[in-house]
Amino acid sequence: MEMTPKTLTFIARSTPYGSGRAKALLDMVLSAAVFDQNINLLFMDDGVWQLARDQQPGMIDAKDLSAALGALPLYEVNNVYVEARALHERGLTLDTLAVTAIPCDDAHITALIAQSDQVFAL
Amino acid sequence: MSTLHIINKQLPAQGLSACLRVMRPGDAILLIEDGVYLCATEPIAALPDTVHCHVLQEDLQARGLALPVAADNCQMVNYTGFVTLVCSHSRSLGWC
Amino acid sequence: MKLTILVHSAPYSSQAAYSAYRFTESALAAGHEIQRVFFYYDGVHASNGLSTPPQDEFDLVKAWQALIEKHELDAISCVSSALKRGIMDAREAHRYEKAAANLAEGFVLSGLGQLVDASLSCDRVVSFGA
Repeated sequence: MEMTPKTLTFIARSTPYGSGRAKALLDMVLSAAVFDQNINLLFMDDGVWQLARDQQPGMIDAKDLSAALGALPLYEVNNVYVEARALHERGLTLDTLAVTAIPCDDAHITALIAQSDQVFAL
Repeated sequence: MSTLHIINKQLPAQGLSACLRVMRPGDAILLIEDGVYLCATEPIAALPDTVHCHVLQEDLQARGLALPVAADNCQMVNYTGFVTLVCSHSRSLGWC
Repeated sequence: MKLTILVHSAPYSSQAAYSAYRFTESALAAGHEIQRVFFYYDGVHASNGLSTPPQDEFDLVKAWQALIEKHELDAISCVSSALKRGIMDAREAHRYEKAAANLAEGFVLSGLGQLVDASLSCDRVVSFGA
């Protein structure tokens, strides 16, 4: 039976290497991607640090999270959003991010949440 | 279409403000765990009247706190009420 | 309603692990159906059968086990989170040539797909974590 696709929104709010949360959320996104649903990935708050360029996680024997994020289009996760305010507060800009993301203001984020069947934040 | 925003720590700088910025009319906040300390601090008192705020009674009393008298828009719920809130909103979002 | 519970904090490190238990218990008491309880990230520590709190402290692993047994809950510990943290069933212990298995009875190891699957087929997901 063909079911209407659902919308799952994942909100990344953690820094990339200080805890395992960023990777845990990304693993959730990649798992959800194979279910052929509508997937949104939104970077908010400290989560925008995951998008910083020139990460060298090899220095601390960690896996490169930004490289993994670069593979999202291969999983057909194309709805990648970033909280514009969070970027600005941290001195980051859209054109210096490791991956392409759509900037969002509060109203846009509110709408994303309201359109979602389920929301996961980590 | 409404969302239940669950706050479980006292992070006025991030948790609460991020949550408040993206709330819609009809959404509600539920304070649990260390989130109940927000009851005792400014941000909750400053909530607009349109925001429905619920506080988990078990977590509040465990910490020796009570609802501030002035907080007209705050209501206590127990775990059963927590379940009811989850079911009466379209989705829940934990701002952990 | 059909509810899915996601737990991503560890017992004794975070109250969230306990909150998830209390919520699940209350949801069942209110007549709701628990589609699945998924233990992820640090949450998998709730499925460590070797967890031994002092007698005067709440035994969360035991409490989950009792609830799982009583209501025949589908309780899944994320296999990749669990293995990393040294929690495994006999099959994984054999596969990785480990000396012992310690997954608490009642819990099942499986992949993240089980969380997604439950999320797509239930009415509400509730996440617990610090």
